[in-house]
Amino acid sequence: MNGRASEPAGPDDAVGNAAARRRAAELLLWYPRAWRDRYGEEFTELLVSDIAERPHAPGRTVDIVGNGLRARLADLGLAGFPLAVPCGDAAGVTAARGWRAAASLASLAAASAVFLVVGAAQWSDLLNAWVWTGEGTRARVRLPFSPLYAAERTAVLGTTVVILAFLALAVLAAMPVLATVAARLVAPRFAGQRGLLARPAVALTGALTVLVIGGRALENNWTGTGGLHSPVPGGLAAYIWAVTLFVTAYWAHPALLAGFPAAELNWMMLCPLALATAVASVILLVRRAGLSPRVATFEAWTGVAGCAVMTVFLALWGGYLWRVAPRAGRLSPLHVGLVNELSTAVLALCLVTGLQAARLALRTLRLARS
Amino acid sequence: MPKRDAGRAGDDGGLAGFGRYAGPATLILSSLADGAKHGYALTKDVEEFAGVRLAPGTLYEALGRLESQGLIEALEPEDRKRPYRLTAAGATALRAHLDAQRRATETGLRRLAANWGTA
Repeated sequence: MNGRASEPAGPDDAVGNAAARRRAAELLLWYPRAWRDRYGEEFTELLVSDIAERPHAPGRTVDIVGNGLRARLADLGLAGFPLAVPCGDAAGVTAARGWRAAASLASLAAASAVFLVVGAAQWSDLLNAWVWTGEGTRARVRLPFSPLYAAERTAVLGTTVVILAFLALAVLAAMPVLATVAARLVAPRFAGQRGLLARPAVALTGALTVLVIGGRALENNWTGTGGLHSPVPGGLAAYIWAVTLFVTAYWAHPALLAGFPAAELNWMMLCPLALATAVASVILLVRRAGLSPRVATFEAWTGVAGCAVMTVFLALWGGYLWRVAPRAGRLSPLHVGLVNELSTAVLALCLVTGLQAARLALRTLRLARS
Repeated sequence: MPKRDAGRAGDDGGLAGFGRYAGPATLILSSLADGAKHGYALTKDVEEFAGVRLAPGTLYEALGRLESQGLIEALEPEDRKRPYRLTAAGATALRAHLDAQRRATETGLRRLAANWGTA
């Protein structure tokens, strides 16, 4: 052990101390802001002493990265043990539980929204292609492919029902949150809440307006969607195809992409921004609205139902992707590629995140009731 | 087997729900049983009596869990270093945990002596 073990860097080590402080500040960034506000100063002091004693310790970095990410998950309501509340501070404990439940519900909302966007993009591609190639598909009924055609039809109709059910759940979940936000905008619970809610509310309205106008303008822009004038599911699929136009393998083929009309290319870059703004706004609204325990419990159980629907969608979609489409080969209406497989990985990640968020939200709400 | 489910720790007020942080938590409580200490002093004390160096991230994760269970409490910072102190609940939890460990240790040693002889 060297002499610095029991005597951390002093004034004579100004250069080394400054370097250690810089390194400590860098390592601290792995933790979320709330954690840094609570522990940052004392943790930095510990790190400076530790770095002075052991300048090169890869294990320390690994340890901090792992625990920092865990703290970030806790901050998002996706892991246990968020920030400590002083023992005996009943009001603080209640507030912390409310905050934690809201964080879990916001993550649940985000996971559900991303699942809806990516899942609906896959479904709209499949449905549009299935309807577009209708003549060929019907012709196949006469071929020895009929069991395959039945499986294909099950996947298409099954995912359609699931997407419609998921949309209905999303509307059901959104209504109490929007009602709470409206109530808080009229009568805020604390100073500044109106401003905290107004900004994401305006951003959400703006993003949804962009998505409605842009999606409606472009929904019949492709030959495959041009004939889908029935509102459900054809029209819905055409609209979803338009607002999720960025979920495409064309990004990997710049030469083909260059042939797209400028308006469509601009939309392909604008629609993900609008969707991201909408999702971020929903997260902020859920976290800041101060949902009542009753509404929060309703949201958590709606989220559980949403996770069940996601599981069914993944089963049907995965079945199509890895069993039906490969057997159909070139007769498959949808040409399955890497973008579909990556999208499925995103869907699975959303499901896992949603389940964890719903589980922690329900547990926090149960603790708050007890 | 202790549950890995962190939130359960609050239900029994002990260390059962600390999962992989139960070991560091025991060492921290044992160190604080000797008086309040800040992070670096805790690290050095644990290293001295247990031969284990608690990494900074692990130390603060365990400190946060212990604090949220009311087993330790944070004192006012001294020169940007915040000391932590054992609470009465923490002393009870540590005693119960160490008693359980002692029973397991004594049983193991007794069985070793009976069946494998003494070293």
